[in-house]
Amino acid sequence: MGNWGAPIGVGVAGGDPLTVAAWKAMGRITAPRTATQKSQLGIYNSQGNQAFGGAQQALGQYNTNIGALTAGRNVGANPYLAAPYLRNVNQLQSQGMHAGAEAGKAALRSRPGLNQSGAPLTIGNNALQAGQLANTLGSQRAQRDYLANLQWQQYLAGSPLAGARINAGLYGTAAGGAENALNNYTSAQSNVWNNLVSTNNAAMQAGAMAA
Amino acid sequence: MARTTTARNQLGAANSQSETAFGNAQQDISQYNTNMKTLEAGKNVGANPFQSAGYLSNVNKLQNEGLTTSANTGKANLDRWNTATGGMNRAQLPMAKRNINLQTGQLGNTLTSQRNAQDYQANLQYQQYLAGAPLAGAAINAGLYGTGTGLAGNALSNLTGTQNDVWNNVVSTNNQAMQAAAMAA
Repeated sequence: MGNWGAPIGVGVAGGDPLTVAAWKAMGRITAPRTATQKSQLGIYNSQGNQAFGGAQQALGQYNTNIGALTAGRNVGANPYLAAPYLRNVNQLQSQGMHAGAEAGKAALRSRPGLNQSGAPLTIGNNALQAGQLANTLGSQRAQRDYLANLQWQQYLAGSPLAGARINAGLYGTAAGGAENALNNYTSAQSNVWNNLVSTNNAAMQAGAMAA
Repeated sequence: MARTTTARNQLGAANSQSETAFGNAQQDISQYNTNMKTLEAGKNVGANPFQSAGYLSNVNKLQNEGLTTSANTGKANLDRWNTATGGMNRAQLPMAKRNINLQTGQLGNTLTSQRNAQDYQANLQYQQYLAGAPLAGAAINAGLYGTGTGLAGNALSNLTGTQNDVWNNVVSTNNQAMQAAAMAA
């Protein structure tokens, strides 16, 4: 490609080629616009790299999550095993059961005393049944929670995709910006070189005509 | 030369990102195809959540409690009926209670089969979700690949364009120099 730092037209008879100083002077005139475009290109490339890397990282996390589900594991903590949740639902159930059992006992006690000897046994039976019902209700809730947790884990597994999609959009925007900056940069550089060559050619022609 | 170097660097970076996106998309699609073959072969892609020990022990316990309560209620009714009728059917009572036990066992079998059928359907859907999961990543990577190739195409266009300019200028200067030499001669 040649040494573009050397004077062009040296050795041409009667020529007055551009000197290195003249080339540098022209370069300084045109440098700011190309420097700005190159700087802009660097910014867009940096942002594009960040967005691309972020998207790939999110997709990697998504694949890891799906791997966990495939292996039969939870992606994140099961919210239906959280202590505050369990404490609350157990309390709720206990209060309901207690109120039901007490109402049953009260109803038995309020009856006339014909079955006086049987009443304590029935009341005991009532308490026993309440305990069994509590057990059953607990199991029913556990089954509902199991299905709800399956959905929750699927939500957690897919959550990195939202960030990946946004980063993909950011990458597209950054790429568009980089394209524009590169177009401007190379176009401006081409103008600089075309002008220098044109000037040099004119100088050579003028020198030849003067000779 | 800076302009061609910049364009070439840009082309390299864009190509690298395109290759990464393309490779990952292909990997995801390959995983999807593997998953589909697994389903086609009648196998699960991942673990069946409805066969986990925790789930089964709970639903079995639930069913067992319900059946036991129901059977005990039936037997208690028989006892009350026997007492109310003055113990006239005392000999038949044990047989009737045994019949309740048998029917309860049969009902347990039926309920388990019903739950298994529900779980089977639910697992089929879950396995389809697992099988199709890689496609989501592939779709995003396909978009990234499209952007990367656009960026690379622009960089390549710039690189070849600027190289053309360089050569055109060299040729122009050479021609001019020859013309000047001829005029001076």
